[in-house]
Amino acid sequence: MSEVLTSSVEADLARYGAMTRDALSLYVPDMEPRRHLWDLVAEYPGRGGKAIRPALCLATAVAFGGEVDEALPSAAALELLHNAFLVHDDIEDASLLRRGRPTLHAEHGVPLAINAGDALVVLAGSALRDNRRRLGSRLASRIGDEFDLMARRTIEGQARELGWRRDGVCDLEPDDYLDLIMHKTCWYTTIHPLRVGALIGSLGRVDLDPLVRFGFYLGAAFQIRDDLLNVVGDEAKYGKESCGDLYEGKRTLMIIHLLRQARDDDRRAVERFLAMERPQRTPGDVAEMVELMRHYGSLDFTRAFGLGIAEAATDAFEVAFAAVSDSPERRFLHDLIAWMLERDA
Amino acid sequence: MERPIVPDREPFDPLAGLRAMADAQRRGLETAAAVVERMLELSRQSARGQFPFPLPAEPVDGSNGDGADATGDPGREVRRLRADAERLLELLGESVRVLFDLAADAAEAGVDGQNGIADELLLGPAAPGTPAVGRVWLHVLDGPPGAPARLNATAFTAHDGAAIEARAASFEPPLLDTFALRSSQEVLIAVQVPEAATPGVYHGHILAAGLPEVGLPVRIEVAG
Repeated sequence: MSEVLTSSVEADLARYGAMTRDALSLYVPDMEPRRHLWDLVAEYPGRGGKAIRPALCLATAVAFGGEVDEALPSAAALELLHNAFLVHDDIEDASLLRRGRPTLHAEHGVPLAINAGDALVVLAGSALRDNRRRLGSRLASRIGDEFDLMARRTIEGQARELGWRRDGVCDLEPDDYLDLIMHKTCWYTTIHPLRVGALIGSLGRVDLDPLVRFGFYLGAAFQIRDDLLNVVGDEAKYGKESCGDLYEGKRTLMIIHLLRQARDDDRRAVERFLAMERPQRTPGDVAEMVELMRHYGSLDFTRAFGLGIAEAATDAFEVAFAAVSDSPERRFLHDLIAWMLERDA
Repeated sequence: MERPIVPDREPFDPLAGLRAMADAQRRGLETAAAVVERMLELSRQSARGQFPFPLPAEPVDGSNGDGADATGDPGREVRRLRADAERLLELLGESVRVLFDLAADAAEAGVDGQNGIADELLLGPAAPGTPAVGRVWLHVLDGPPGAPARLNATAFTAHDGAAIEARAASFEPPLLDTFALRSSQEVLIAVQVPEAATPGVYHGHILAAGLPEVGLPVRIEVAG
């Protein structure tokens, strides 16, 4: 991807992100108790982030004929819920870094962090209800259903992954991994913002299935890229703990490939590693897993596997946006595919 | 049958490595396509069954996935039947062709043109010589897709017979020619209060040509 396109996409992302943060800030009360609640609630949204979800929602709404203002409450609701998920995920995963800084529970303790996460969920509901004023009750209700479906899918995916880790599940296929991230990641990162944006822009007239396909391919390729960056990326650029997924025992595509390819002692070493609790996993253990991944070609396999899905995303975009006339928003969405799949941060 | 994952590196054979990469790429595409099509089919099945949510691929609550609890809890089946019945009633309640929707703050009132139960759209207070404005949302719930609907108004009359003529009302957009099934449209309504209008309350209706069941009561307050 050229530097010009990269900077154009990043400028648009920054613009959509700023709009969403402005809208989102309207829902965070400026009142007591600040120190123990509302300051914590504002913490993750204030750290920035790529704003991919709201950008997808807002740009899709405009591309399909709507106005940015019509989609802002939905974008803010999604971003608030996303931040709630992050707070709770960080606790569940015992993560140490988020967007280049200590996680909320690491800074403020688990009880206050959980409570702040709960508050973010409640605020997301407030933002969502604003759709009634702007879009009328029918469309707002439809978006509410979409929101519930998205939240449920995400929570189901999270439960499945946590369950795999708790139960030491190792007999997994790439199909299991994709099914997991369809639920856990793709629905709320790409599919939901695209569907809601298209619903708003078209006033409910668009067929959503092609957007599910495009959203899934895009989200899956993005997640696979994220998994790779977690192992081989630059922590300073990436903003998360290097090899954090390995420390957490996540069943990424690389680990699944390694489990199926490793022989004898190597496979047993991987299984032992995955059976450990996070605090038991040392930097040496993690380095051994990375070395095994390199040895068995798990990183290269994952790259190639992701590339196949990325190509499908490009084709699926043309189908999903076939009836959408050319516009800056449509071009942004098209360019976003390459940006998401070639990023290093 | 378990499908082996092809190793991506073969010592002494660089072409084998390339083939392995191509295979991994193809496998990524095929596996992802299978996953997304499975999800879409699941959603279609769920929609046909009128469940509020698509069913999870694997029941997570100990049930066997067919609506009955694995432990044989008959209450679960009753609850499901009740939910289906409620959904059916909800669908019957949507049989009106077009629904007006007053966008008045959080207290929203639906107006059902079929059974005559209607809240009023309040315009004003507006001084003589100025417009009384408001907006409504229209939602097409049933009917031929793309059917145009031109909005118009009756005269607005007060208790003492004073009237504001129908032509004082205007609509933006005036012709809902892009109105499609299951779509929503915001409409701005303005009634120009004549200079000579006497203060008081005027009542009238907004109608939609081609949609005989639809009528929205309107109340205009003219300030003194």
